[in-house]
Amino acid sequence: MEQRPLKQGRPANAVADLLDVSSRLSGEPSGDRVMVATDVRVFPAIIHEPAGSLVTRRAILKLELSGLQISPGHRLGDVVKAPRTEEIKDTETASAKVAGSVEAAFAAGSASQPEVSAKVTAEAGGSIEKRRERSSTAIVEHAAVKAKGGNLWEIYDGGADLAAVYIQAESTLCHLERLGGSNRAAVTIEGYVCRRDLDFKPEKRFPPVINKEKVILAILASGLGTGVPGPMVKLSSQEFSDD
Amino acid sequence: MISGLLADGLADADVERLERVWGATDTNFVKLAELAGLDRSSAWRYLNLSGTDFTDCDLRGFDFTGADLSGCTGSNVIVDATTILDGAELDASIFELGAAAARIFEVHPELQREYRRIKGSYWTEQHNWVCDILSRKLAHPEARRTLALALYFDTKDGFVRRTILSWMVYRSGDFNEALGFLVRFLSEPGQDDEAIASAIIFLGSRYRRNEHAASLLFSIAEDPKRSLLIRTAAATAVLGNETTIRNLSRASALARDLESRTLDNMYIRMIAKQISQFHLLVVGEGKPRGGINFQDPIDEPALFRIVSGVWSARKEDEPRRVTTAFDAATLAELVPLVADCLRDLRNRGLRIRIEFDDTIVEAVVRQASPAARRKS
Repeated sequence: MEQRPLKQGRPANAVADLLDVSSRLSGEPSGDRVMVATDVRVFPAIIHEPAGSLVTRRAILKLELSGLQISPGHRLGDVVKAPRTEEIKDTETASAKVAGSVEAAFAAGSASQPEVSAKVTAEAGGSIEKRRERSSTAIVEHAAVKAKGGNLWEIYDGGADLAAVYIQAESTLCHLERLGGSNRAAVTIEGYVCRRDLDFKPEKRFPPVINKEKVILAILASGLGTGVPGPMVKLSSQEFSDD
Repeated sequence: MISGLLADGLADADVERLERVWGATDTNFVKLAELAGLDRSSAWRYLNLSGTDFTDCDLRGFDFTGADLSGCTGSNVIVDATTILDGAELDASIFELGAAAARIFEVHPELQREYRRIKGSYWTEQHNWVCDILSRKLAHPEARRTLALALYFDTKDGFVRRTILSWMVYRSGDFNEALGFLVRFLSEPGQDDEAIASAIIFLGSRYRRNEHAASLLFSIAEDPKRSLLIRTAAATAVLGNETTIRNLSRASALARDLESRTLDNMYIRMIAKQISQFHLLVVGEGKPRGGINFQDPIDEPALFRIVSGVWSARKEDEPRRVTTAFDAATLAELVPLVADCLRDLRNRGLRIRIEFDDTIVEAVVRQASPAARRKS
């Protein structure tokens, strides 16, 4: 059965200066295999009164798939744990100890026939000490973009405010392949920020006014989403489908 | 819903709310929240509120589900079952102490009655209660100590707070705990500078051999955003730290920046101590007199004053240590020794303002002779 190509949807970024996600799909003419190329930019969003910026320390990228799956091994940011090199060195030291003593006692039983008793004790001991030294080396790369389970990517730079392009379209986000038997194929690429990782940073930090900063943060955060706030706020969405 | 750029997407009402909050003179959290028209039951969920000061706040009805409340401070805070803290981060916050206190009250209801009574009582009674808990072996000592810490945030009296603080710094024995407490104290908005300064001095003297303490004190003393009182207290503590001698250039810059004669003298004493007991004695002139500094010139009257100071220290301050520090039978004999000592310090790189020469030294010797003194 001939596959219908996926139609590109336009990215909708609610606060593009904070999180801007833009993707395109490309693939083979048969449509069995699709490559997802994505740009993800996360920068502080500036406001003028009060002068400052809304920053985030974490962003999440999520793929909702229908009739498609990510091809195993084709995912950007897969952190494969490197094998650990371990060196084990055994050192043995041996020691032996022998000690002995003889005690003799003469007890007067009778004047003609003295009783003689003797006690001989001996101790012998030895020990072998075995010491094991172990050293290991592991190389850990701290990448800002990590692929996680559930078709998620996390962008987190060790707790720093995000301010860079973290994924560029040149490096493919993932490869998708069609699931056999499905009559519809669709991809939605969504960008989220975690509310708890948002912060308002005023331009003037002196005198410190932490309570005002937190209330300003709450005003800005409440503008990002509707309804009862959950842990994450969706700021970006782009849909592709063969409908 | 905001669209496009954050600043462009803000509705007029939002801009007005932002301006209102930013321009407010009252920084009470609840009042600011009301000014912003934010809903108690939804606006604060999953937000980063770390370090917020909840002093004089009624937090009933606030939903802080999943919020980061670590390091939040405040006194006179009302919290009850309607304050939702599910999944919130409470590390080093008043809520953590509150939660610990609640657990104690469950096990020891009599302590809850006792704490309620103390919380509402006059400061003298609060102070006595704290001292009793900290010094006497009462029942449930650990639980009572936790309550004493909780009182730190519930009392408004500076003296009671300082007593609790000094216990934290002196008795806890755990450097990290004391440090954490001080850092929280420093970050608590509206805290009075004198209390912070005294806490810094406490910490400095308690950990005067600890390099980590010196490092923290340096950073406080060098922070231009801190008040002069706090910076001077931190500098005093850092110059009294025995590990600071390894960091002379930083210590020197600190003494210079803060332009304090006392700090100058502490710095000079730190160097002199490395040379000899006599050097230390000369630059201190017998501690009560303030000692030499980088600002005042050491001319004829000053030299005489220093010599007299050292001479009287022999009698007044530390007789045994002083008599072994120099070998001079009379005041006049001491003059050249002191002059040489000061020159030695200058030759070693200390920029003290020596404005005497041999002629002046001779004049001071004459002045110090028994005949001249009898005449005067």
